[in-house]
Amino acid sequence: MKKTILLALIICFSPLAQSQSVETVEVSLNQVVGKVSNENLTVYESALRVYQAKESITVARMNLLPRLNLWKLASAAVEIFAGGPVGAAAGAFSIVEDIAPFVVPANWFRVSQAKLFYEADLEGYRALWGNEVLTAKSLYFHLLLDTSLLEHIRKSREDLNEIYRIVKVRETFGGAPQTVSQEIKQRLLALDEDARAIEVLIAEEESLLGFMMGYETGVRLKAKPIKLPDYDSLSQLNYEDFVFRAVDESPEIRQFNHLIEASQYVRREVQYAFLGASSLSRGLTGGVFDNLPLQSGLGFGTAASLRIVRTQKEILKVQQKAVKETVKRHLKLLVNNYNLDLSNYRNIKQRVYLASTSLNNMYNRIRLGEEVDSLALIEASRNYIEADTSLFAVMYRFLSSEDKLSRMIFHGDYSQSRKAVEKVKGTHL
Amino acid sequence: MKIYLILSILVFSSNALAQLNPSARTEELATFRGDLEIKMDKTPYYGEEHTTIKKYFTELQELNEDLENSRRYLRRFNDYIRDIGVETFCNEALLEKEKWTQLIKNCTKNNFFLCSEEVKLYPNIKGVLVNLLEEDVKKQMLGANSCK
Repeated sequence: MKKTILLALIICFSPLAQSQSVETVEVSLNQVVGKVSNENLTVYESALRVYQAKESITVARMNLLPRLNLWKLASAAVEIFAGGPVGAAAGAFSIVEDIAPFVVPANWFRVSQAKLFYEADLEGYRALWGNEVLTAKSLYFHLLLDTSLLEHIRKSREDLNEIYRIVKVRETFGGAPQTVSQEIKQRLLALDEDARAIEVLIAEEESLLGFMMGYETGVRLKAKPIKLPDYDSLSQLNYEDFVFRAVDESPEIRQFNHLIEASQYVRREVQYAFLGASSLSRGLTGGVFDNLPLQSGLGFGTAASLRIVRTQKEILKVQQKAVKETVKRHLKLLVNNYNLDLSNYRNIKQRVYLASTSLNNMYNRIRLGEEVDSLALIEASRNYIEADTSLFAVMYRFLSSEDKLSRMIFHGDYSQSRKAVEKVKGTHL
Repeated sequence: MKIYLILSILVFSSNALAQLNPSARTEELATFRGDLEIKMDKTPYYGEEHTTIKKYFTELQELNEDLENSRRYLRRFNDYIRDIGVETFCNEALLEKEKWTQLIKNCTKNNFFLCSEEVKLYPNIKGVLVNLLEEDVKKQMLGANSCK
């Protein structure tokens, strides 16, 4: 009895038993946005950086209050008590920046800069969030497309296999030349290869989508089908209609607005440098101002330092303009692709109908005992699969273009970016 | 130099007063609303139309932020609304629901919303404004037809 129980336990907990249980999770497109917002590791990392930037404002503010530096205090005490009247004055001034940091204007300007860098980081988070959601949704569409293609190839293979059996029987009784079945067999093998390649591709896409949605490696995802739009009711888009919103909502452009505003505080730091410098770091986002050669204190290099800061502001404006033009160019490309796919959809639908009719005619003729040229049959099969594949491709590519346009103007699922940002603002660790 | 300094102080202080004055603020909103109503029928919207449309809703949002940040200003604003009457305030400052619905329709093409997000958020922005006001003014606004 004891041996039986022990054996049962060993079987249950053996690696063999465990490796056979693969978790399969069914996901919908709606879940993608939620999971990417809450579970995606890259988005979470970015949220933590925003949290750091938020805390930097607190650090900058608290930097205005007195702080304790034991060694400086000790050194000042020695100067004050042992240095006579002059030593006392020198000792007092040496610890002003620690005891009364609020008298150093640079510290006040750092608070303003920290607030603007935080706003810039929020926009950066919004951009990254949008990109991750876009990539995840794009993968989802590809997964659905490849799954549909696989089903289509399997169906085509079944139909062609039926014809192969018919032709094989006829060959046996001398009703058809030997070469016909061989050519059909070649086509069947080619379809098998295509099916295997797509299976591998689907597995890769599932794995990547799972990673993006925060699932552990090994979890299999099953994407629920989506409702496709009514392509016939949609009209062509005009690029000009989208420009305002794409530029207005662009987090990449907005980030530059905050950095350009921050540059005025950097300039004021240089102007008031004779009253002391701030020892606080500007953080990652403020790094754009950190490598500028700026003179501390009031000296012959102050005027040049001011010109350097002014030029840095101009550089940021030029970069912003370049980003704006890139956004507009990208938008134009997307609108053109959207319109192209919409036009092609109607054409390809017609092609599928004609190719399907032609192939079905040949199948019927073979079933009725008629002789059909094998090359023509293979060509018809290939044309039908190609047309159907093109139709699937254009439908899902259209969805992808539509989604990319939504990302550009932060519409639909991407309008949730404001909620995501508010959530990050309220984060406390 | 002295005259320049005095002039700068005067301009700065008058701007600051105008910005905080509830009457001037409402007038500004009314002007932006008027401009919006002129532009909203000129479809399709391009840069100029979009900027005019956005200006009104952004100004309303900024009013909410100012009311949230300053109790004194909130009190002054409530007193101002009581003085002129809730109906008058809503007629001047707030966009009617029918016009907003038409604007949303004009802003939508192939299921894409092409105007600034503030336009879509108008009911929320209006809701925040009403909730910020004092109880008696809030009750009147919720009951007034022109405020719906």
